[in-house]
Amino acid sequence: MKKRTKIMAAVMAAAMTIGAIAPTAMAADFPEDTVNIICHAAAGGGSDAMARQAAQIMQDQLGWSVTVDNKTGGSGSVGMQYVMSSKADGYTIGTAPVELSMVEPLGYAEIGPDDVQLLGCAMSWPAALYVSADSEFNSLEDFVNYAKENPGTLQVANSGIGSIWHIAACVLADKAEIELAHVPYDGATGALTALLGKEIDAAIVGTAEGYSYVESGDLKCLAAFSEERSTVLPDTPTAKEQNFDVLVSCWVGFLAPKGIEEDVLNVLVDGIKTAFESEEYVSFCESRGCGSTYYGPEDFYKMVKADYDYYSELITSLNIGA
Amino acid sequence: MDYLGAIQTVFTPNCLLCIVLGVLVGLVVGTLPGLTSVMAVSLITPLTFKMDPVNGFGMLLGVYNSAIFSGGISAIAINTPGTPASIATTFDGFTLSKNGRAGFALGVNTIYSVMGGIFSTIVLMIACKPLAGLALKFGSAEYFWLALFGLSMMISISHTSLAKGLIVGFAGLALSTVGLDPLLGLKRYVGNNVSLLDGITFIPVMIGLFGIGEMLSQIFDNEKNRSKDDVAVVKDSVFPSKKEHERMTLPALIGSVIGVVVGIIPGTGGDISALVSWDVCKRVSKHPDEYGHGSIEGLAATCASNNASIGGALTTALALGIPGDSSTAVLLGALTMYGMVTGPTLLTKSGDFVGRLYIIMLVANIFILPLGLLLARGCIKLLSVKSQYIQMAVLLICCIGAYSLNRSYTDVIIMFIFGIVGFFFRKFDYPLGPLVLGLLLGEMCETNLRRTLMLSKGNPVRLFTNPISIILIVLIIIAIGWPFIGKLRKKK
Repeated sequence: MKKRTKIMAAVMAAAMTIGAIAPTAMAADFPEDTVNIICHAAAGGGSDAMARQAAQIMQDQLGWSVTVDNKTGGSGSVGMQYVMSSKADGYTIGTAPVELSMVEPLGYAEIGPDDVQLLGCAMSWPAALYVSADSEFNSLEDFVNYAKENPGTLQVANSGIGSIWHIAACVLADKAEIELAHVPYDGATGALTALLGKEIDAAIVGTAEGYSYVESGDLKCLAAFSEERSTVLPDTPTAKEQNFDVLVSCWVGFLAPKGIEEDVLNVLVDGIKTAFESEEYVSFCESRGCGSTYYGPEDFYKMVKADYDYYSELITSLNIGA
Repeated sequence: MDYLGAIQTVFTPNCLLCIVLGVLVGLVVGTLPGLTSVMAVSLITPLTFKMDPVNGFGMLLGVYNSAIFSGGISAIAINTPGTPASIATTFDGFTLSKNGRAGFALGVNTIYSVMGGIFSTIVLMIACKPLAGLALKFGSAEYFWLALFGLSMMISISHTSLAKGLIVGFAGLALSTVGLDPLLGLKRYVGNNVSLLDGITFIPVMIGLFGIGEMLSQIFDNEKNRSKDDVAVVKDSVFPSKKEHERMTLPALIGSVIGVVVGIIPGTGGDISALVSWDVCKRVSKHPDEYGHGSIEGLAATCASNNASIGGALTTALALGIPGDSSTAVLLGALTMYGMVTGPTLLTKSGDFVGRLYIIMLVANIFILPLGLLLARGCIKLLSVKSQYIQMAVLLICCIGAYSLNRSYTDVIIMFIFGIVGFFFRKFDYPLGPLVLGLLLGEMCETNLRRTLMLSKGNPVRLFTNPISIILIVLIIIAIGWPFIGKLRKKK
């Protein structure tokens, strides 16, 4: 019995020594532990897929251990606030949704581009206007003309109040000088389901979310709100082609809490850049109908800031939000 | 569909191994409260990218099916649902276990979960496309009535007193309003607490009410329990007798059908389907008084129903690209990663793969059977240790589970608060079910009522115009009027 106690004492002493040494070894290089990506959107959606794809490439090419968790709600602010309040050690980063430029003007949460450390972005896809395949509308013009004759009667589904696709619908209404009834659903899937079930007249969600229903012949897409035609909807003209200056795109990148050490930050930014510029990532974006132009932290910040200023003005003038 | 080719692809050592591995992972995850099937499936998804898609999906479906099944194990053994899909399993399963029939209850859980799973897979194979259309018939008005129908069950799960049940139920509804307003995005009862923006997280509440609450009250009543232990010496076999099978077949079938239907409807899954099945089976049963007090019928219905919802959820996911619940959302995400286009074109474009997927579903369910029965035997031994050991282990597991869900201490605190609530509910004989029901269905009820009125510009007629709505309204009237109908029948 006594012998065993002595051995235990020795073991404990050894354990203590290891415990004391461990912290000094930690700061050496990054990442030594799992990097956890907090995705603001539900599993199965576009942002989630992006995060998981990038995580996978970082694991394969850099040998990092990366996991993705979903923290949804509050137009992305739940996830972002979680990341912001996490320790700025680089091990908790998050997806940076387009809502980063919107939640503050909307009054949902006090998060703007200046409150976070942006890491990079390389995925964007435009909004598009969908109607049922048997709808009488065949062009954006038909839709707008009808809306002008019957103001406020066309009901348009979006992916939630204050979401980017809701803003897109508001931009369309604003630029085309029409009045629409906006109905929020639970995400883009909810909006498309309502349109497939004919509960609603039209839906404005992204090209990436809806193109498979156009391919299958269930829905028609009247316009994409982008500069150029989408690769997944090559037959759909842009709103610009139809003489409506409506440009709204959703983007998603990565962000981190402010105050990460310079060298850790550089490793993170480079790692994410490697993932974003890999062949796999580019073809992933293409297959989903998304653009994959890379924006580094500075360019990304400029883009977010520009959207933030534009949407702040728009949201105030449209009088939406809290 | 080329099933022969599909069978050949699935019955390779690699693929079968992946399915078994998936089933084993699912067993662990499902049994531990707080670790859910969604979490397990999303954690494993990235690992499968490097595999052949069939093997990868074999693993994912193995996890999914077995996690839903094994949630029932903890529901039966320690009165704590391993996943929300097993809430209704606690009603009868734990009573059976307290009466010394834990092995039997675990056996029933295995056999009838597998039955439900296989039933729903066959339905999926035969009628994937036509059934998925049902999902599109569910508009906002129908969702509202469905939620209300679910809420009407507050009556039948208020075992002791209706008034107490309603108090608790409305408290649950009130709690469900915490968080961001679903249609206007305004904050409700949130203050500046970010973790409340999304509402009160359901799973910590569930673990607290059931797990912590149960353990606290067991510890409190320890003296009484000891004398009870001596009484309950029943011969406990894992396999039900032929007579018992006969009694359980119909409820299990009803449970399976309801499971498939509820599974098809997007946004609803095994948790709601099992509760609804339990309620329906109680109403049609010849022994409704047994329900809630260790009814084998109720147990079989819930076990079959939650697993049957998987096949239902997959119909809409595969045929339309609309996930039936959060686990299928992750599965769809995985399919996209394998380079497949999810949506209505999946069945035609990747038909071969879908065929393999059906076979995987069947194989995964078949693997669950021997593993589950073996585990049931093991569990009997485990449960025969001193109750103090079990209590300590369960308290620990509950804490780990609540924390690991979102890695949030707020969740652990919520769990303990509701644990104390659960303890007092047991002390003063308030039922737990209605609270869970209110919390589970409150938001669905509210959002869809308000959305319907938004669509109709405030005109309530829209709520009553669709055939499915009317069917649901009739069901609600029957559900609420049932006690009165029962009284009338007795008078005659």
